[in-house]
Amino acid sequence: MERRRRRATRRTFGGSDVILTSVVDIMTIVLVFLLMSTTGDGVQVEPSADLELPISSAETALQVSVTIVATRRELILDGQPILAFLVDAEGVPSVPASALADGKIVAMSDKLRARLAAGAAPGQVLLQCDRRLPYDVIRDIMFTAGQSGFGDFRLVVVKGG
Amino acid sequence: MWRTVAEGLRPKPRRERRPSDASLNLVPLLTLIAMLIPFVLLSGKYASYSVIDATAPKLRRAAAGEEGIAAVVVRVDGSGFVVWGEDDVLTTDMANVPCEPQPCVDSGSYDYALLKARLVAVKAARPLRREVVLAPTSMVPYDVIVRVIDAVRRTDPGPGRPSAELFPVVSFSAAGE
Repeated sequence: MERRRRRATRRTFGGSDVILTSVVDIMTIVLVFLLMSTTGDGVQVEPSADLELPISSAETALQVSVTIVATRRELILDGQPILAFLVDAEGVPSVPASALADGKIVAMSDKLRARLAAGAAPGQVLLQCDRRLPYDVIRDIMFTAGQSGFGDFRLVVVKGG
Repeated sequence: MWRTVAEGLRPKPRRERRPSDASLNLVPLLTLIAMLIPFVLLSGKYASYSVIDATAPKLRRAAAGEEGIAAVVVRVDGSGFVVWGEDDVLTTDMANVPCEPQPCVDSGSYDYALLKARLVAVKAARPLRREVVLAPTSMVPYDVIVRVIDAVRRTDPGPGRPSAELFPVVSFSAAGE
């Protein structure tokens, strides 16, 4: 009677062996999916509250280049913050007048020239700007980059629209 | 368990401990994981990025009819768009694309569809032109500029026809304030 009950219990619960085949199948499918969906283009876009990229219908892929990030609060060149914007009472950022000389952002111009001197290929620059930035800030950034040897801009946008 | 007849027909006292069935039933757990993984993957958002090519702005102010300016200039300000060219393709009425209602409060207030329609008319008259100069005023948000670039580069696809090129070469200038 006891033996019969034990046998029934064993039959109900399928024994103590863990069947790993299904787990391995799931993990393999998930891994393949993640590998297919990652871009692997080497360009890092770090979303934050101060950086919301605009949405566009553009299809051109990203390529590694000198990267300029303009958030609502600061200007970042290749991962290094180089300028803090002036933010007025309404939250509108602007470039401080003290940071400009002949229409160029001095700190940015110096860094770009240093990059050129260090062997960076001139011409292209990747520009990630927050969608709420006013045009005068973007104009100053683009003008400075253009005067420093990087006159071709690739504006990073989110695909959509 | 049972003693032999010689020992007397009495059951042996139980000394062996009954082995406990401690195996875990993993099937429900695996089922849960199998249901959760597709749900999480499908509900997550994967942002994908692309780029728009543009060229550096000129520091000097762009004015209507100025020599050397590309065929099409699109000025963007707080009241809408103004489109002009080096010739009389556009009449004065066609050149203005105001926001409705005035003034333009955010990026959604601008009439990008009408701007595109105006540029289609320019392109029909000047099919070899590929360059457009954007001349936003200082306080125009970047979001509006990107949407204008989207509007000036290609037409919208229609039934049975793909989108066509309008003015894909975009450069910037500083608008007269």
